[in-house]
Formats: sequence, structure tokens, C-alpha cells
Amino acid sequence: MVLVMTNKISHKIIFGVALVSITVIGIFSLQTSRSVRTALMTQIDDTANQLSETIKSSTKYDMLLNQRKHIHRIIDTISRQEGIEKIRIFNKEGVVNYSSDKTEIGKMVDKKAESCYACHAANQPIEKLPINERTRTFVNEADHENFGIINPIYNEPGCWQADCHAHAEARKVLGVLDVTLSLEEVEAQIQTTQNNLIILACSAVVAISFIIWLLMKNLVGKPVGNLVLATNKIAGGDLNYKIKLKQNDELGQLGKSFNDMTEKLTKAQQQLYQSEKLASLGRLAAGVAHEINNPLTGVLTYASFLQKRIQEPETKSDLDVIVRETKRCREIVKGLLDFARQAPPQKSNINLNDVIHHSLHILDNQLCLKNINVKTGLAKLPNINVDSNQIQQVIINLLVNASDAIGNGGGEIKVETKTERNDTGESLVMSVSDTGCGMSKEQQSKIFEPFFTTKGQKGTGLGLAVVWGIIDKHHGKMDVKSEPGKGTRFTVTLPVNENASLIVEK
Amino acid sequence: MSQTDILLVEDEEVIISAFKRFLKEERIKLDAVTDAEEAVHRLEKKSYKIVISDLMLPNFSGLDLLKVVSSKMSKTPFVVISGYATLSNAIKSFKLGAFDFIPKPFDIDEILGVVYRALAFSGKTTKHHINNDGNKAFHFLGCHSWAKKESAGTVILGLGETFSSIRERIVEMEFEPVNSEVTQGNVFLKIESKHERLHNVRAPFSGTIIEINKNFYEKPSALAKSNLSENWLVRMKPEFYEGEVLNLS
Ligand SMILES: Nc1ncnc2c1ncn2[C@@H]1O[C@H](COP(=O)(O)OP(=O)(O)OP(=O)(O)O)[C@@H](O)[C@H]1O
Ligand SMILES: [Mg+2]
Repeated sequence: MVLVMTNKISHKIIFGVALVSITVIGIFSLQTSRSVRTALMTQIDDTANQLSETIKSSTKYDMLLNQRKHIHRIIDTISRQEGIEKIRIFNKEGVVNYSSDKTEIGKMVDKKAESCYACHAANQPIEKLPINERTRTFVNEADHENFGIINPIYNEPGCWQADCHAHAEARKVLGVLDVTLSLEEVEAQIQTTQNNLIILACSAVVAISFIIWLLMKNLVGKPVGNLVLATNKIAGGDLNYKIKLKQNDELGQLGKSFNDMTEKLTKAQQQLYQSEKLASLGRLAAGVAHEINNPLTGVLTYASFLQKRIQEPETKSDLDVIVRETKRCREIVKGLLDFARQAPPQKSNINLNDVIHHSLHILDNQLCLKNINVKTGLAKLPNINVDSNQIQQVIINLLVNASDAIGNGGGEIKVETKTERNDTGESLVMSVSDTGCGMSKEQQSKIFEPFFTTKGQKGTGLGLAVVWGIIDKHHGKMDVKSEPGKGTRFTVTLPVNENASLIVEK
Repeated sequence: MSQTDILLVEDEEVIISAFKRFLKEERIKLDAVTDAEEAVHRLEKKSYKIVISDLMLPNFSGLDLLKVVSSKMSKTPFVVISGYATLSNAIKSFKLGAFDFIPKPFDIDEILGVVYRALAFSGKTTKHHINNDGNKAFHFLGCHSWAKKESAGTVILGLGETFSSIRERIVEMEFEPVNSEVTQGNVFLKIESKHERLHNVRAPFSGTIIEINKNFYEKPSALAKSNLSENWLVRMKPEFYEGEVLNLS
């Protein structure tokens, strides 16, 4: 399917380009062969004119002397040259006096024949004729193309003063020299030129199409095929699929944006999944807590009531156990409810830096005892409307986790804030970095899950789940970067505008 | 009109039977109903010294009942017991005039503590407004606890009138330690009075405790002779004063 599609595109382009190049080359060839023909014809024209002048002048003397034999000989000799079809001279009446074709001598030329037509168009000989009207091309009986030129022989003083007294002085034109040249050679030459042009045009079209096909295949077909494959993969749910395009062109860019998009999609999906899970867990916790508290009340009141009344030591100590354990249940359920974050919203306009200072102050002793050096890099921040208790909970959770990760060997925790501006508005960015044990990629993917902990009995694994939930409620984002053995950096981004109107009232 | 000590509004059988069991021992009379509408009918027919009610009830919620009781029978203390004991529910209840807020599950000492205090308080009008000397420096979490803002930005916290009946019987007071954090609506002080009764005192503000009044810390009995609304117990650095003051009266 992929190939058919890309092939279709390249077919269309190749077809288009071929059509355009055929038209362009065709017009060019036509033009070229025309100008070649014109050039050749001009050349023929000149040659013929020259030839007819040469004949005229070389026969002139013999004409004056009325040396007919000589004139015959000259005409025969010249007409034997290659390319000369026929040379003839006819008088004013149209009788052929001299001709290289002996059969014609003495015959009348039809004045309507093509060689006479120019002058005798009105049945009346015209005495003066411009040179371009004296030439003609025509097809003879043998189906060959010929080129004819007529050259009128004018009456000159020498003619009427000659001894033979052949011509009267009053006549202007004595006769016409008609030279016919064969155009076979020229035709062949034009044909060859045309053939060459056609071959050239065809090979150019084939070559261009091939190059385009090659380019399309490598620069467009393959990357587009990759993109189509990737889209299908992603549509099929494989969000980890990455397009490998090394090009720097628009398609390379497209591939890069595509990869960016899938990455963002993956993150958004994870975030959604996480939020949904937390929300349903919260609802579950709240429901369970409520349901369990009623029977627990029954147990606790009866047990503590009995505990007061019973004097017998053994039973009393049994009841102590029941009361103690029921109270433990009470604490667990309370923890669950806290996790469900049913605490009242404390939306107030605060400065994040103040909350950070406060949280650090609370943990001062603990961090000092563990030999942890705390550094802060706090930028000037605008106030933000948030649940400051919850935000403090976030900071404390992150700090405690960082201090746990550092352990007892000492280390450094860095808390930084800054503002960030992008197309969705202004955000506050807070990061907590530590030089602790770090985490593997696999571990990083699980830390926000409720009850995931590597701390055994000492951790409940709810810390980061709660943090996530709080940040999610504030329309914020969380990110973690970590390297095993080197340390971890948690980044929290809180949008300023969204939290201007945040009401978490439950 | 005949009078019974307690009207219990609770839809959980085991809790009703537990109340009956231990109140019989104390000779306290109890009527129990399972929903708030019925409670309203009962209150119209009969007089009760106190009302104890769950929050999550079918149809008509405990908070709605609380509104009715505190507007029509302001001298009848209303004790909220809740299995859905969130801080926001606690604060809302106090704002609507609850006498106290007891999360479930509770033990016998806690519930008897509040029952006796409420019975003692029944029929009295709340007095805290008189002490407000017009300067609005006092803020009250119901009649349960109070806070007064000081010029240094700190607040001092004290016990409300609902504890007046036990001030001569205090055995022990357990404070949240100095430097600890408390949240508005959370317990900052546990009081044990005679007969092992327990009382939890909830904070009107969130913040860090910076000082505990030595007079009472060392000698709780000193409270006996003093006026509750004049003696502070704890000094605190409030954290969200501006936002939280809106939840108080
Ligand atoms: N800064 C950190 N460096 C290394 N690992 C960390 C860091 N923060 C969290 N983790 C890992 O993530 C896990 C989950 O953390 P989380 O705060 O959710 O739970 P916890 O700290 O184990 O328990 P608690 O509920 O007491 O906070 C931790 O057990 C730890 O493995
Ligand atoms: Mg943790």
C-alpha cells in the first residue's frame, strides 16, 4: 500500500515533467529545424542567383555573336554539375531555345507553368521582377523537390546593334534564363537534423524522468514511506516507535516534529493515566475510609467501654490489645483519607520562594544531622494562587526523598526556581536536585505509582503519588531526570495564569 | 414538654447500639433516629439538651440539620460525628455553629468527654462576641478555640467557651511541640480531664508553634481560675493568615 501510494505520486510527477519537457523540446526542435531550413534556403537562393548570373554573363558574349553552339556547350557543361537539375533559356514567346534537356528544345513553355507564373500572372509579361519573386520551389514529375530561379535577359544596345539584327530596339526583355536546382540534398540534410533532434529529445525525456524517479524514490518515497509506516505504528498504539530520518530538509524536519509529537503524546498519555489512576484511587480510598469508619466506631466504642468496666486483668489486657489495634486501624484509614487529599483548599496568593524557605526551615535539623549541604538558587518570582499547604507538602516530599537518596554519607541538595514563558503563558519552574543514589530508567517509570517504594517498611510509596496528584490539580507538570550513582533532579512546572483562578473547593 | 438528654442522628445500627449501651451506664437518656428529616420532627415535638449527628445521612445531610438546629435552637449544642472527617468538613461545621467535631472512630473517653461538655454547655448562650472588644483582633473557630492577632504578626491561641466546664478538672495537657506545624482544623492540643475523659482542641490557623504558655504548660490547674478568653495557650506564626481568616467567625 505504501509503495503504491508513493509510486503514484512519483508517477504523476514524472508524467508531468515528461509532458513539459516533450513540449519544450518539441517546440525547440521545430524552431531549430525551421531556422536550419531557412538558412539552407537562403544559401540555395544565393547560390542559384550567383549561378544564374554566371550563366548569363558567360553566355552574354556568345549571345551577341549569336554563337548558339557555344551557348549549348556552356549550358551542358554547367548543368552537369551536381545538384543542378536543369538549365534552359526561352525567348519572349516561350519557345525553349536552349536547354540541358535536349528534348525540350523548340517546344513552347506553358505560360501558366510554374516557372512563368511570376511574370505572366496577368497574361502580360512583366519586365521588372524583384529577386525574391524570381525564385520558386516545386515538386517535379519524379516527385523531387526542386528550386527554380528565373533570370530575365534584357535588351541592351549590343543586342540591337549586333550584326545578326535579331532584336528590335523597342523590346525590353529578350528571354528568360531558367535554372532549376535539385533540393534533394537539402531535404536530406534537414531530415538528418530533424532525426537528430528527435533522438536528442527522446533521450533527454527518458534521462530526466529517470533522474526524477531516482530522486523521488530516495528523497521523497523512502522518507514518506517511513512516515506512513510510523503513522500506522502509532495508530496501532506503539508510541515508542521513532522515525529514523537523517536528512536536513523539510521531510527530515517533519520526521523530527513527528518524533517530538509522539514523545509529547506519550508523556500526556502517561500523565492522564497517572491522574486517572490517582483520582480513582482517591475515590476508592475515600469510599473505603468512610465505610470502614462506621464498623470501626462500633468496635472501638464497645471495646473501650468494656476495657473500662472489666477488672479481671487477663481480659483487660486482651481488651487493651483490641483497643490499641483498632486505634492503629484508625491511623491507617486516616492516612488513606489524607492521601485522597480531602484536606480543605488553602488557596492563597503566595510566593513560591517563601514556601521553599519555610519547608527548608522545617527540615533544617534533619538535613543538618545527615551532613547535607543545602544550596538555593531562587529567582525573583511573581506571586501565585495555590494551595500552599499542598505545595509545601510537595516540596517537603521532594526534599525528604532527596535526603533519603543521599543517605548517611552526606551530600548536596539544590533547590532552584525560575520563571518560564511559552505560548501557553507564564510558568514557575522549581527543581530539586540531589547528589544521591539516582535511579534506573525502569525505576523512574514507576516512582509516581502509589505504593511503589524501595524503602521497605520505612516508606509507604505514597510520597510521589501525592506530589503528582497535587501538581496535577494545579494544572502543573512534573519531570524527573536521574542517573544511577550520580543523582536525581525533579522539576515541577506550575502555570501562573491557570492558578490565578484555581479553586479546589471540594 | 418532656426533655431527653440526647438526640442521636445516625444511620449505622452498631453505633446507635453502642451509644445506648454506654449511656445507659452513665444514666443519660438517648433517643436515636436514622435520618435528618426524622430528627427535625423529633426536635419539634420534644426538647433535647444536645444533638449528636453524623454528617453523611440519607437525603438531608448532617450539615443541613446543623443549620436548622443552630438557627432555631441556638442553645442546643450540636456535636458532629463523621466517618468522613476531613479538615474542610470540620471547619465548615464549626462555622455553621457546631459545638464540636468528632471524627469516627472514637473511643469511649473521647465521646464521653464531649457529651459531658455539651450537656454542661446546654442552655447557655455563646459569649465570645462580648470579648471581641470591637477591634476585630479575635477570630473564633466556632466556640471551640480562638486566635488573637498580635502586632508582631504572630497569633495567640486559646480555648473557647465550650471547654469552660472542664477547666477545673484538667489532669493533663499535651501540646504539639514548639516548632511543629499545625494545619487549620487539626488538633494542636489534647486535654485529659477527670475520669480519663479526652478532649481534642483544633487550631484556628495553620502555622508553626513558636511558644507554649509556661503557666499552663507546667501547671494545667492554673486554668481553673482564669477566664478562658483571656488566657492564651500557644503562640503561633501563622502561615496563611489572610486566606484562613475567612473560614473563621
Ligand atoms: N531523589 C530521589 N533519588 C532516588 N530515588 C528516589 C528519589 N525520590 C524518589 N525516589 C524513589 O522513588 C520511590 C518512591 O518515592 P515516594 O516518595 O513515592 O515513596 P517513598 O519515599 O518510598 O515513601 P514515602 O511514602 O514515605 O514517601 C522511592 O522509594 C525511591 O526509590
Ligand atoms: Mg517519599
